[in-house]
Amino acid sequence: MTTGAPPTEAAGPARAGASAGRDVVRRALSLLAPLAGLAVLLLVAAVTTPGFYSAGVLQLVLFQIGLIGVTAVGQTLVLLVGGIDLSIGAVIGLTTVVIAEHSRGDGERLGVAILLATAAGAGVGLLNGLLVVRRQVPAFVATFATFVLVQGVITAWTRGAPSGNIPGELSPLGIGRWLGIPVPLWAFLVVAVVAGVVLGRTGLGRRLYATGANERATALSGVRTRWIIAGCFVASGLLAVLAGLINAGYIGYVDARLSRSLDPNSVAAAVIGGIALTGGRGRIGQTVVGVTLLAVLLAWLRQLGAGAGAQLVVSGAVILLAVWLQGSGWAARSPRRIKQRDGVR
Amino acid sequence: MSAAAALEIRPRRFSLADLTRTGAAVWIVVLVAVVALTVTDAGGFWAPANIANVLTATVVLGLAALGQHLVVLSGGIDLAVGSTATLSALLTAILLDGYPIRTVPVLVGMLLLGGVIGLLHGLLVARVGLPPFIVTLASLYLIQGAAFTISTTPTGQVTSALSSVALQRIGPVPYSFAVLVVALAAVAFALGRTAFGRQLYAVGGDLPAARSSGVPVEKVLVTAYVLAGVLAALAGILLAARATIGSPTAGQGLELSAITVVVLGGTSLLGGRGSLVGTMGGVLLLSLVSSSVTLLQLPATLTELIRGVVILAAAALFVAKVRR
Amino acid sequence: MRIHSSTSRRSRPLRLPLAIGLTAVLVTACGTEQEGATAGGGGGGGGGASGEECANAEEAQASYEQAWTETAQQLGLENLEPTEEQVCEVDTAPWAAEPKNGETYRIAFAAQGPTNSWGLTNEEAFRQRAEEVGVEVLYASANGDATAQVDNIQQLASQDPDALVVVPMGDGITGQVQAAAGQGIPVVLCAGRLSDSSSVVSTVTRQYELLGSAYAEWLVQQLGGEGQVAVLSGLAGVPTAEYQKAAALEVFAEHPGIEVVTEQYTEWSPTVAKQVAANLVTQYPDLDGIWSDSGYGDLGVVQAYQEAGRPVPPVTGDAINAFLKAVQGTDVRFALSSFPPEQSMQCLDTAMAALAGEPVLDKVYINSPSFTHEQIDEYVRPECTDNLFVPSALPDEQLRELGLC
Repeated sequence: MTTGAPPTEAAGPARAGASAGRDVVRRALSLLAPLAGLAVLLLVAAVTTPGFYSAGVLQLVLFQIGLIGVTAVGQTLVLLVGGIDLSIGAVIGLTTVVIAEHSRGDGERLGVAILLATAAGAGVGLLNGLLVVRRQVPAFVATFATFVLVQGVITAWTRGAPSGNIPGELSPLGIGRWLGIPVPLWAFLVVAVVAGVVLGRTGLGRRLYATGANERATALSGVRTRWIIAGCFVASGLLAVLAGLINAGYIGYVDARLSRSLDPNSVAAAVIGGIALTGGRGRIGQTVVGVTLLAVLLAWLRQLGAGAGAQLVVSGAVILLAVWLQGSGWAARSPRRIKQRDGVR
Repeated sequence: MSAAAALEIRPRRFSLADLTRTGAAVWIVVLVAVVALTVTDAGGFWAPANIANVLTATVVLGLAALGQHLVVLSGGIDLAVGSTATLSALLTAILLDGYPIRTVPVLVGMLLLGGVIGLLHGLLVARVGLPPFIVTLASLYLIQGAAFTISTTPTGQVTSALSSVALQRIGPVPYSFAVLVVALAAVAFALGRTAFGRQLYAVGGDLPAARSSGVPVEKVLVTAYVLAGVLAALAGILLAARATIGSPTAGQGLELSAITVVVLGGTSLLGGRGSLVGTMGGVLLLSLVSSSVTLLQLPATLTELIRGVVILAAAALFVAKVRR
Repeated sequence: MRIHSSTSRRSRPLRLPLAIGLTAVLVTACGTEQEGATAGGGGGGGGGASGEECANAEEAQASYEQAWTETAQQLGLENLEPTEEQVCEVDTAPWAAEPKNGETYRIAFAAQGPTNSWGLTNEEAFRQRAEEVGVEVLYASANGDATAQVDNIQQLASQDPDALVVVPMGDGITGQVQAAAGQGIPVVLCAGRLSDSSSVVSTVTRQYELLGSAYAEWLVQQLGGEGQVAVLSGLAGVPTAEYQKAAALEVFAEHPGIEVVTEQYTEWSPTVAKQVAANLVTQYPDLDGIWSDSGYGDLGVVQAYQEAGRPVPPVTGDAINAFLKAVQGTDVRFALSSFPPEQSMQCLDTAMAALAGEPVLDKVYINSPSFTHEQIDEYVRPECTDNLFVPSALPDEQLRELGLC
């Protein structure tokens, strides 16, 4: 979505410059709902699945946080400028295919393969960005179209059966540990910290929030909002490539199902954390909590051995509940105003 | 600066924007496709049976898109139309189970079920004030979960009378197409000739202004979601009728196609502006694309690529400009 | 409530004609009786022959049991009992026909589409056999989607082929298959089945129940009838996964010493399977065996156990080259069978037989090799890619052409 909301709703660029004290309070408040949800979930998990608090499960949850988290950060950036990225799953799949097809399992060709995958991911992100800012296609439709297109490219290229292997050199990225913590989690933490610093401490971050809150006003004040929006899509594409590399390293095969999934986890994590779909509101900290909550939830459901139906029902209920809690005043916003323009992508 | 530049460009694109707004743009693509198909394989394409194929493929998607159209006009989005159709299809087959005597109560029940789902969406959106995207995303999971809880294997059976509605045709026109035509007429009537229609455009266009000028905003929003739910349930009934058996995966993915065609038809996802003609053009375009791939025996590896290129190109060319 | 009343008013134009039409239909149908009571979930009994005399029953039945006996022999199973199933011979005289157009037969093939190597091999095998037999192929791809296949079948049928071979993507296609058969087109279901197959000439497939039960029996035998088992099946709601799993659970239920501790879905994805298995490692440290329906899933299972530094429990699944390459030279114990993509060749043969008026069976159950870790060297193809389903019936040259070797 390129243009923001009508002026009545504008939070304006001035928002970012609120006084430090109020800022801290607001940040704490915005984290309260997802944190409370996380606490409840951990409690429920402890009661229903006795083996939940073990080193093994903790490792699993940490790994899962890393895997979901990398894409969730990209998704958050796009959501902050009022977009949404449905092409993440396709880019993850494309990355694994590019790596396998180009490197053919040869570690020496891995570097070039990664460069090609990165270019492909950035290309998809750029295409999304151009469709959104140049042609003003709603992000939902633009990224769904590239999702279908990338799948089509993969099928036409590999005829459904990608050949080649993932070089073993990539596996540390997926299954390695550093200081006892899974490498994917480190990757997520680095990405999250960088994104958090850029968003919270730099002029670029301020311009990004302003663009998401009210693009037209921000553009009139001299900010190159189109570049910022397109940049967010490219960043999301690049982070999807990173997620694809982690996936390739984790399993060591081209997983045909990866590219066929819309990867709803990244949207769900951001939403649970309280990132507003209208753009302009939300912090990386919230995404981190949302990712954690989702990872714990997935692990718990798996431990529970719940059937496919129950898993979907619980996921749906958690999303609804999380947003309900945020909507009912904890995020210090009037529901009326949230309702007004949300989800119109 | 860039915004100013865009403003200057605007008058030059007026004609295209105009075409888009009235929904004519997508029909031009449909026309081009039809001409291309006529040139390539006139006999095959214009055969009554092939026309029937194209029309049959529009029915379920068309019903889902009609509901989506209403919700999008209101400034919302309904991601649950696919799963609502799935649940309705599964329950139709299970509850009918081959007993003709149950037909009417079950069908009415399914439409009510769709209405209740829509009512819940509407209340959560209008009363509680939750974002439609999230409400319907959550209920997409909830409803699909409910369907899997009812059965993970195909089960139930519809009556032969119901399945003949979905499977038989008169010349090039399938019976089920009549259902779509009736639904289309009803929605067109509701939008064009009733207070609800005017209020819906007002609410989607500028909610605070509509509210301050006395439009019953909540009622209008809830009605839009209820209608979308009912139409999705009707799509589900037709899915079941065509399948003759209930499947817990029947309508998966329908929501994305429905949103895509609504947008291709020139309806603004911001709400308040859109054309039913365009939405139907979008439905016809997708149906033409998928059927011509088989008709022309194009290589299967290219089908997805073609679909992606068509959606992308149509979106890039004809999507309604968000600027008002 | 006001909202409600307004709602029903809005939708009345839509409901009323429908209700009137259906009431009319109801009056003509006018019965409290259930129609065609043969359909319904599970079981796998197509209803076609149930009411009539079963032709040539003994010979047909013997051919059915042969597939079970062979699998039992190959896996060294002592008590593999065939599930109850009536196989009969079909008189195809009504289907016998000369080519409708010109000299050669046109056979329509509603395929899965090249969404994975199974789909690719499946349709290439079909095309190859079609070339050998000298028939024209009319092709449609469903891209793995049942809803798309419904349209495909209608479209293929409307082009009036001599016969229609369908790789069913789900039971959603049942009505359209019946409609095609109603047009006088002989339909052969290929590599899959429908709960209600009464309208088709024949169902040609590797039997789901055979795979599910054989894997389960092998596990029971490996464990000596005692122990904890996890059941990992593919995708919720998809017959290929659900029927195999149901058959396995039946076998496990017959053995009181076997405890099924959890049932999970792997989506036939090594990534998901690995995450599921990593959870099994911590949650059920005493797990004795893993029943799985897929070699792709087993890849993830093996990795999860190896990375946790734990011995891999005996696993089952279908034979994919990637799995064999991964476990060659390890002490992983497994039993594999296959759901061969090349069964499409037999599907075409059956359709041609029907067109020639030769007798065919209403259910042709494919025989295909099953083997355990002991015979891995005979089956692994180190020179081929991971995506190859072994053993492949296609010649090496063609496999190379397809990029599979």
